[in-house]
Amino acid sequence: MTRLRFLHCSDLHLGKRFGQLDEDTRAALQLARQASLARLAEIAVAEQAGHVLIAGDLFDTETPSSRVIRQALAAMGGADGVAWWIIPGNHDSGAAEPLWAEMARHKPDNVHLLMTAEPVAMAPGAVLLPAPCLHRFAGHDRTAWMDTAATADGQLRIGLAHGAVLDFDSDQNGADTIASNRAASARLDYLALGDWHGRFTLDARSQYPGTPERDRFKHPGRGSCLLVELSQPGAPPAVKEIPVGQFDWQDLALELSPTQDITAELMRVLPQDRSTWGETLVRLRARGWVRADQRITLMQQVQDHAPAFRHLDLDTSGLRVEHRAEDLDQIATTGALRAAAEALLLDSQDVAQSQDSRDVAAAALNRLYAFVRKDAE
Amino acid sequence: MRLTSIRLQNVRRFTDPVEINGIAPGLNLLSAPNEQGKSTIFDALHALFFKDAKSWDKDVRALAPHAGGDPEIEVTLSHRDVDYRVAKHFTKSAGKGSVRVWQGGTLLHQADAAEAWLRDLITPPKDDGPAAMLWVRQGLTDFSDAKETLGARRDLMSSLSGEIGAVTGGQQMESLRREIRAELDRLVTKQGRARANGPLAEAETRLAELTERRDTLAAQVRELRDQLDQRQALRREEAELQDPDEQRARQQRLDEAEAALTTAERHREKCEQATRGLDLARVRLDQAIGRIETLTARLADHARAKDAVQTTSTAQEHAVTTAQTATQELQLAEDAARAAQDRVTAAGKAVADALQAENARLSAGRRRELTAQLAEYDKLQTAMVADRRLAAQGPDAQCLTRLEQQAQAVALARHARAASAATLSVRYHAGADPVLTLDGTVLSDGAEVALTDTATLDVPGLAALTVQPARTGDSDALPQAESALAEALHAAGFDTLDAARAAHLTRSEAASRLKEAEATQRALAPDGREALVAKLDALPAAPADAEGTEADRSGLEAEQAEAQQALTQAQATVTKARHTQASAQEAAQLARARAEAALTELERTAQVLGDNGTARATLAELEADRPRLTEDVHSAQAELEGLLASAPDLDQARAAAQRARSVQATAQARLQDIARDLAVLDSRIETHASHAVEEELAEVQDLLAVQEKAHAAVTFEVATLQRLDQALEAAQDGAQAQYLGPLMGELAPLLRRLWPEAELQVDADSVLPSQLARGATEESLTQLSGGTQEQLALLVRLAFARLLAQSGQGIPIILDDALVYTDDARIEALFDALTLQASDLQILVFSCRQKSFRNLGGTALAIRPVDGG
Repeated sequence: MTRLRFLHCSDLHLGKRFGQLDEDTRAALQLARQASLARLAEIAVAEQAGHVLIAGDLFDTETPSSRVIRQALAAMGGADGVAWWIIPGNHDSGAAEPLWAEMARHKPDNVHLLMTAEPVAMAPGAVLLPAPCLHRFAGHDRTAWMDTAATADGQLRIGLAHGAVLDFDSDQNGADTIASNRAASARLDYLALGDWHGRFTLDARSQYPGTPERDRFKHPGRGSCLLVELSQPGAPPAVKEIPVGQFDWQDLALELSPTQDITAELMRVLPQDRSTWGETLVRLRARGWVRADQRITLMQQVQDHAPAFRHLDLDTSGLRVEHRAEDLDQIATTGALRAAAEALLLDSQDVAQSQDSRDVAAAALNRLYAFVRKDAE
Repeated sequence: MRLTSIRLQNVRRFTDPVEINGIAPGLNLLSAPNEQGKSTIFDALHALFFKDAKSWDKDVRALAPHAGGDPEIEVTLSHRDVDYRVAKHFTKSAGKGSVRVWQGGTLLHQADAAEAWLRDLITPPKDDGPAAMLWVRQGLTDFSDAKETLGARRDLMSSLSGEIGAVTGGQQMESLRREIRAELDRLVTKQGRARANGPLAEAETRLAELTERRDTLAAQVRELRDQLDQRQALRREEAELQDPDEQRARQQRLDEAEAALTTAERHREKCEQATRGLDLARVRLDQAIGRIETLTARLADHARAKDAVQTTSTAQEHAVTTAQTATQELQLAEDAARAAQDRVTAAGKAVADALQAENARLSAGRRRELTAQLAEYDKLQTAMVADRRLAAQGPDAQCLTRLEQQAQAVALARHARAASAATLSVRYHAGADPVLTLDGTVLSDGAEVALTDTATLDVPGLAALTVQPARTGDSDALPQAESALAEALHAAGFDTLDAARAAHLTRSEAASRLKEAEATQRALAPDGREALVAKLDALPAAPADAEGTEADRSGLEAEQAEAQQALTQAQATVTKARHTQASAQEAAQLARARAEAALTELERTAQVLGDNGTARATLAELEADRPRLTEDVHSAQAELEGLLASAPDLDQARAAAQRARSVQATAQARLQDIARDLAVLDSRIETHASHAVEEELAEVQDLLAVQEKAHAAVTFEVATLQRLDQALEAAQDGAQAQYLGPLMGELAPLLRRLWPEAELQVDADSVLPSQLARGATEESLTQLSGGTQEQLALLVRLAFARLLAQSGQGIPIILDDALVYTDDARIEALFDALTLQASDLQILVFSCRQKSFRNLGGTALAIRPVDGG
């Protein structure tokens, strides 16, 4: 009986720089990304998985720096007893010959670069059917050949491919889409897919592990890899998700209303375990209506908590401020200040004006309120 | 509204409850040394009326005692003759403060409703003038820090600013606008452009830098991708060129082409060699043939020359003989010709004599002929007279025709009668003789006769039968015709038609003879008888012997002709002989010349030929060798043709070899080019890769997105600040226009109470009092003495109070340490002003100057502990 255990991961995007974040965070994320290979190696050893399948986009670009390449090879070479099986993805396609030439030149023996679509003996009784991205855009389903790929009877058939199965993004080229029933049509025991940065299970045999180190709020949480065990040809695979990522990406919605306790609501939404904040990146999308003082409270609270997180970004584009009479009283009950506040309030609610003008008037009113409040504090 | 009592607990130093009772409607004085809590009472009152009970801001916090505790402030007041009690309790527990309003012993309002009641109490009806802003503390509106505020609070000058500022936003407004302008100034210039080195400029610069960097990197990435694509294409091409199978095939094609070319070239050399061999054989053969022909020709020439000598010599002899014979024959012919000439001369004379005689004879004959013609002419003349007479008799042709027509009519009538008459047919019996006669005519067997007239048939021996034909309608026609004929004949003078016909014949014949005679006459004498006679007369008279013997002229003429012919013949013979003789002479000369020429030619040919024997031997040798040479040519020709037939196409072989070499060379050159291009590309790619341009581009794109947001935020900040400043300015301008004028009107009489002709001037920008004009002197408020400043401030406050009082909603005025610097002389004037204003205002004066204020008058107040508190 053939039994095979391996790790399935994809989309490491080594070399990614995260320009949208501050420099410290950028450096930390890059280091974590680079370290994910070592972490995968540890997991493979710990789980007694002799193979790691990387389903494309090991690198973020087609011309990563030599340092990135060599460090990656070093990390893989350091994993004793683990064979790495790598296909190029669309980000680091086979068209990037210098990259793959350098990889081939310096790779340790346990690293296998799969640059052609042909069966490869992966282990006794197991054949790997790779579908490398030899160009950024193939214009066809690269896995189609697997249907007719002949293998000896009793062999495990494992597909390794990079690309969308569904139209994940609107800009996906439909012609490249991998047939969603490929595992069945090609009689695959498992189809290890890459490209989607989040975890996605198409069916029991066709899975995306997501990137082991998350890189955007679109795919929240921590990155992971999949431990796959195939007991025998035709038997369903046992798939287990194992966390890998160091950083936790959280896209949090903060629904607010004037009646809420802003501080309490904020604390309810933020991760409860404060010990994790230092490795958490948060995008906090505030929505709804608040009073002027609530808004100030929110800003102050976020400002207070932000340093505790690896990254905390407050998006208030969906948040509107409701100015009430008391708010205006706090600015001034009478006089010119009061008149100015009322004029701004009227402008901010005047539908005859453009949204930009109204937004500016509302911001000016918030500002006036904040000035007065700051002085009063 | 006026205050009647104040009670405090847990307010700063007053942790235990204290109270001020008996506050009067007019002027009140709380005179106490410093640190006795006067300002605390002032701040507590302000908090009561202006701070929300739930507030715990710095003003409220400042009220709490150091030892802790929640400030409690309570006042009693009279408003429109109704007494109320108001209690406000601040606490630091968020939102837990309370406020209550009682009327008598009844709780009237609490919480928000109580706050609203308080706001209504101190805020006059809308649009009710400057009093709306009156109830403010001096200095409190200054937005400087707390420490300064505390200092300023006791500064009546700042109070003055505060009072006016209450209308226009005051110091708070000023401070706000200063801050806004400072922030704006940091961001943009007055023209609204980004301030150099400011945040907006930096954001713009950074954005531009990033955009430029992004564009540069994007271009580099595009270039890099192009290079990668180029590299891939080159590698593919290189792989194809370096493919062993391809290389082998290329080399094999080249080797084959070279081998084919070598073979073709060698074959071409063989062909050329064979051609040269053929040419040589042909030359040898041609030379032999040439020599044979030359020798043969020379021998032939020599033989011909010999023959010619022989022939010409014989011909010469024969020609000489012939010439001699011809000369002899010429002499003979000339003799014969002379004899013939003599004979012709004699014959000619004889003929002439004969001819003369004959002419005479001919004239006589002519005379006779003419005489005969004349006689015949005359004879015809006589006959013609008779015939002319006969031609005038008998019927002419017209008359005879008429008679013939009438006779024909008779014949027609007769024929008609016969057609209608009975016929008689006769058939004799066999053996019977034809004996029947009709009118005397025997009728033969088978005869058939028409019986037109009465006829008699006679049967001999038997009877005579008379046959009478029957009468018909036309029975008269015949007699009529016959009668007409008879009449015509008679008229013509004839009895029968035949007589007429005969007479006409005679007439015609006579006419015919006459015509003939006339013709004959014209033939005999065409020109008439006279001319004929003249001709006869013209003839010469006949000689005597004319009728003599007639000589044989024809014989003579024949002899003459014969002699002439003989002469002609002789002459022809002479001519011929002479010609023959000349020809023979010429031929003899020619033959001589030919003989001489033949001898010359013989000598020449002998000389050319040389030794005849040798020449013949040589010719024999050549002839013997000729077949071999001919065979050589044939075999060389065959060899060449064979080679040419089997020759490969050299041009094609050359082209193929050249192409194969070119393919090989091109492939090698291309490989070198590719290697060089790859090296260049690798170097460039390596450069890009070492700079990690793609990663940097992704990073810069992210940075740019962040920077765009930051820039938008700064831009929005600028817009926000500008909008806020604009709103504040507009509100300030509005307030100034609405409230400042009335205030100045109220202030003026108060000012003049202290300084005649004094006028307070307001700064246009800050809308605050800036200068005090007294007569010709204008002084900045900050330059004024402390005493003057506080006096001025007090007057401004009183002016506000006046305005408020005029609105019908008086509010107490509290002067906290109002007159600190004013000297005693000036203070009296101010006390007067206060007393005057206090007639319809409640005024609370807090002062530490107990002695100086002793003369103020009014109700004296005191802070006392609450009993049992």
